[in-house]
Amino acid sequence: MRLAALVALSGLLPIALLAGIGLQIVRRRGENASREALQAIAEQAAARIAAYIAQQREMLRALGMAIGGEADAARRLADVSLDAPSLGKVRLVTPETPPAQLPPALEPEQVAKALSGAEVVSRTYLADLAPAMDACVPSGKPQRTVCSTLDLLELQRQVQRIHVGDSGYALAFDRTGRLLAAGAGTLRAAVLSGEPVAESTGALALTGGGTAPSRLKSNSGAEVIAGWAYLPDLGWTIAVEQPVDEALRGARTALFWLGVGGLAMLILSVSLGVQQALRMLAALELEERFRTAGQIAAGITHDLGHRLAILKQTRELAETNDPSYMPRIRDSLGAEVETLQRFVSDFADLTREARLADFMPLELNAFAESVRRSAEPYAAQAGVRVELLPAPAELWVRGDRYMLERAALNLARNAIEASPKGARVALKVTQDSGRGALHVEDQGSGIAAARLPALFDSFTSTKRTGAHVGMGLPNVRRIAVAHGGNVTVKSEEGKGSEFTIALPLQPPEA
Amino acid sequence: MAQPWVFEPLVRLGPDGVIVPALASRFALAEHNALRLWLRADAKFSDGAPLTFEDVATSLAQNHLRVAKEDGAVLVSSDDVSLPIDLLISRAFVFRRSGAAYLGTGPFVPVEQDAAHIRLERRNPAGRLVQSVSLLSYPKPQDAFAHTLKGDADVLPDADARWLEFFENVPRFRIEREPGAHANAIAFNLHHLSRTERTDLVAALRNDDLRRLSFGNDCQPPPQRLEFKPPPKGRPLDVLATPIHERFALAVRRELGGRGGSVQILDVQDYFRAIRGGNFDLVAVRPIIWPQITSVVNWRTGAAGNVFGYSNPEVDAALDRRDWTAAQRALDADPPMAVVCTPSYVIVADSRITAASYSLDTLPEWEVAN
Repeated sequence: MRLAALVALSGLLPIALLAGIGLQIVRRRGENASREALQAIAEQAAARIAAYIAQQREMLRALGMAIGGEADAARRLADVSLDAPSLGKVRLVTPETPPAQLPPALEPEQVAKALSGAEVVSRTYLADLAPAMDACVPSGKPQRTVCSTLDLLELQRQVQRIHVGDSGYALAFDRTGRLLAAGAGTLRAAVLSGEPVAESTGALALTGGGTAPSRLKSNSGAEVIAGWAYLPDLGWTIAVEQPVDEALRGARTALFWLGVGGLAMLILSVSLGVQQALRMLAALELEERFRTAGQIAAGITHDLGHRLAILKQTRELAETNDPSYMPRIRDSLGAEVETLQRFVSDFADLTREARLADFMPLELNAFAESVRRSAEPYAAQAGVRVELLPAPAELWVRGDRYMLERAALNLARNAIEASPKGARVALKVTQDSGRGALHVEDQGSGIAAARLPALFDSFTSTKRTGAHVGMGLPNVRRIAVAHGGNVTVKSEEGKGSEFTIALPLQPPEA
Repeated sequence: MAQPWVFEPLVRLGPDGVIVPALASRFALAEHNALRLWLRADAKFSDGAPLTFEDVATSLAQNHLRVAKEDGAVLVSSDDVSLPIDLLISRAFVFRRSGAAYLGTGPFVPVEQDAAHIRLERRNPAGRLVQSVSLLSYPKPQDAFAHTLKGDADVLPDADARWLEFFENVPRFRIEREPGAHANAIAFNLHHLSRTERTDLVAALRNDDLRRLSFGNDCQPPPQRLEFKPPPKGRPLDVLATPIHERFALAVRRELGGRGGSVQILDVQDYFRAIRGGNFDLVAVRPIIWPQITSVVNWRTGAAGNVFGYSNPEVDAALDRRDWTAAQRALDADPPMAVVCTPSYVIVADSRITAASYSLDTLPEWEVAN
């Protein structure tokens, strides 16, 4: 798991970041493309509408000049309405025309202007159900103008005919932001009622010379992408919009499959990487084992060789059959047996595992006193004094008493061995940040700073005299860690060292 | 609109335009424009009370019908001899007064009512049949149309064909067409135009060009085809119409060619004033043409609906014989008007509503799909 996490962090994260950025770019490109397409449709629709209006007005101009001056113009113009329904109600307007018969959206001054021979058009407005626009054109004769209420239903049809994808539609607004035509069926009621819709604000902004939003919340509440076009002559605004979900469906599908492909590649890459790493680790582990076995063998060979040399000398002394050598032979054999026992004990310690079930409450002051007592005979032999400096209050920890004692004694014995005759070894108990600590201080020659970082690694001891195979300190660290604690060392050459075993404090009842 | 769902008549017009029993189990014509009816024994008002002779007598008296009790039957007669007694009875709903309320025997009862709406509930829930109906009233037809489009209503009856484009691509609704009961026609001033002229004018005006020019394709031509004849010669004929028929009037004038006179577009009040004053030659009208019994009886001499003062002894005699087909034949031979076409009755309904016929008369049979 740790390996997979490592591979993920070192390899996957940058790749995922790159992929995320790439996908984001693709998404933005997709949205831009949709927006440009909608914009093009809106402009196309606006151009078509402008052409239609121009065509109607051109037709009206032709009628005005051809019929408007004739004696029976009124009747002929009325008949024209039958053949050209898009021109709406075509009529002859003179100064005598009653107000009720005048085009409804033209102001009196516009009518006067038309009667004087100018062409005038009204704003667009909603007449009955369809948008309409009043227009008057010259008749060629004074005080006669041909007027029409252009029926712009065709424009509405054009707007309704615009479909983009499954649910994209077009909307047309007049210069006041009123909806004039809607491709979306649900919005058509607003055409008749004149209620403003969500897009009216955008239309008004465009009419006022500003810009309309290309992404907005439509009247139905859906997020849409919109393209806008403005018809300055009519004051109309055309919006073509499509729900974002639908507009970006293509880009999203591409993104999805790109993502899936990328993820598959990543998974493949990670699994291959993990397999390769595991293979390498296995090889390294094997190599490490061989190296460790070599170190152990070297240590054992060295120590047992040393012991063997002593025993060989002892045997030579015994072979002389000189009784005067007996005390020396006896002392030598006794010392060697004791050394070999410790040697075996050290190895036995290595095989013992700390098990939670074996943990017992342990009071550190009492524990340190016990260690002191155990170490004292050895210290006396070396001419070293062991002192206990207890903590002012009881400090309880939990642990395997035997293993902790082996670790503490190991440190104490090392301190005694490192101390010159007459020196003092202190066992100090303290409390710090929820931990209880047993410090072992000596006044020996200290340890070179260069050795400190690897001091607790296996088989690094340089003491090859006596029973030191370099397993003592690694074992101390193993025991401390197995109890949720740690072991640290401070040392200064020429002044001595201080080893500390720190363990989590736990009340005895916990 | 709600009356036929709450109240029932003794007889009603059936789907084929013939009078059929309703609250009466059977009926038979009696002498002197009277009808003998036998009441249904199972007919009950919405409060559970059975239908009685007194209920019938009280209700029909509101329509100026006399009711007499006979052995196990009721005899209904009228002083109005211009209309058939069974048609008069079919227009008379039977009710019972209960305090301030009027109880009916129909499938629905009103549960709410004010100026803007009436809500009706079905008396006996029946499967997926429409259980509740709210009738919403708006100031103008356009308002009703806009509110239906907006989703405030589920059915828009008698929709104007011009509105239908608005319902395109609105999946919630579907558009249904039923044969219409009214026609678009040109009625003649009987004092200005002779029988021959009128017959020739009918032949001149009943053509597809005029129909399409005036109403597009959503107006069906009369089943009886006539050989086209040019308009008879004579002085120009003035055409009178209301604004909804302006295009029709212009098209008629053009169809008449040299005989086309002025076109007068008047509001409804002035229009009827002009008709009553006889100040027209031709007038665009929207007469009832279905069922036949209803359309022909209006041309009886002196009938209340005979606003043009038509009088034809052959028609009257056929009506007396209750021979509607003969009356129609007599009318065709001496026509008071030229029927140009019959617009469909268009109803816009929520797509979930299913019915064999969308006519409002059949609403009690409408089902709502889930």
